[in-house]
Amino acid sequence: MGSTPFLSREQVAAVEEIATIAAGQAGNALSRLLKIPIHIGVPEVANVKLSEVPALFGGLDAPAIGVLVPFQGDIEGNALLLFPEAGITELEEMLFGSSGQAEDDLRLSAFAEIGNILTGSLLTVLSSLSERVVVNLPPFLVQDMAGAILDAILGEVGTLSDEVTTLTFNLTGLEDASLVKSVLIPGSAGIELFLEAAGRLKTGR
Amino acid sequence: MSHIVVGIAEFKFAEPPHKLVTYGLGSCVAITCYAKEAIIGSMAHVLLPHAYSSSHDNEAPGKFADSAVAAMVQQMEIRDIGPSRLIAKIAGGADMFAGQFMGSDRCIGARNILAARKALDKFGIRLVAQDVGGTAGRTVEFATESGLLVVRTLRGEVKQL
Repeated sequence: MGSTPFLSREQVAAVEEIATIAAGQAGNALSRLLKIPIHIGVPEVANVKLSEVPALFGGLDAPAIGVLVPFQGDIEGNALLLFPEAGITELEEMLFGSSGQAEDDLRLSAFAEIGNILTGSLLTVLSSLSERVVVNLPPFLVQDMAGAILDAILGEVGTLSDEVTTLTFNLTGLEDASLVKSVLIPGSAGIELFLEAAGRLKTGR
Repeated sequence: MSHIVVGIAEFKFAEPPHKLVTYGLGSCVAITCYAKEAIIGSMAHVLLPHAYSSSHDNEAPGKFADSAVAAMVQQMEIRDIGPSRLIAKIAGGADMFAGQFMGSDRCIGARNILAARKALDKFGIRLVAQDVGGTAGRTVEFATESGLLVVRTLRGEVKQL
């Protein structure tokens, strides 16, 4: 399945730089909203072959929560944020108490809000750097197998490449305790925005 | 007996006692072809309906519904099994975000289902069972001994095709 990497090493570094700025802003916003300390460190950006995507989530049939965030404006597209269920216990305990139990609707709306804030911060930074007007729309939510959720964005990216670019964010709480891992996959339009913003960043405009 | 995993954009063959399995189908479609007399089965996990340009010619044939079926037919013919001796079953093609892409060109699940049916029809392969559409992910297991296709969802639903 060999093909050119979706992003070059230089582009990956630029995406990481932009995402780090957005992660800092999103961490602050989430801390204020959820009233718990949340820090989002430097995200890990990678080109991942389709065949290696399942390993990110513990398998294609591993349960996950997916947040699909459409955006529109000068450029339209979708970004998908996935939370593997295996890694969300700590965050749920912080949000819903020691039992970590909550109604499905409440759980999902909490993750929708995290997805909204994270992608919203990214879009704000991207919009500012690229000088393109882009706004995020209300997110779509689903709880199902990771692979099934991923199809929503792989189908789009897969028309262009056998690789996808992933941004892995680790949300931590007090004393760097890991709260949750989330993986963002920007669609083709999202990648275009990243590259425009990266170009501006490089030329200092 | 072992389970042979068919990954995204792959297609594989198996004989008894092995089973072919593919996990987490959303808009993707699993296409299985079975030669009852020869007792051999094949499964593809297709991501898209068809290649969008000639630059995809060298890509994995299992990635697209049309090229996956053509490749399965070709591999069966190498084993002296013509398409008229094959039966097919398909599963998948869900719209995971319930209407977000409905009715648009981007509703890939529906397009994958249609492309799979067309590709099978092109070779005269009988489609004898299907579990397609909806909004739930699927994991499918294909028993090469019997041709039975078992479809499972995360909500605990099980269908035998």
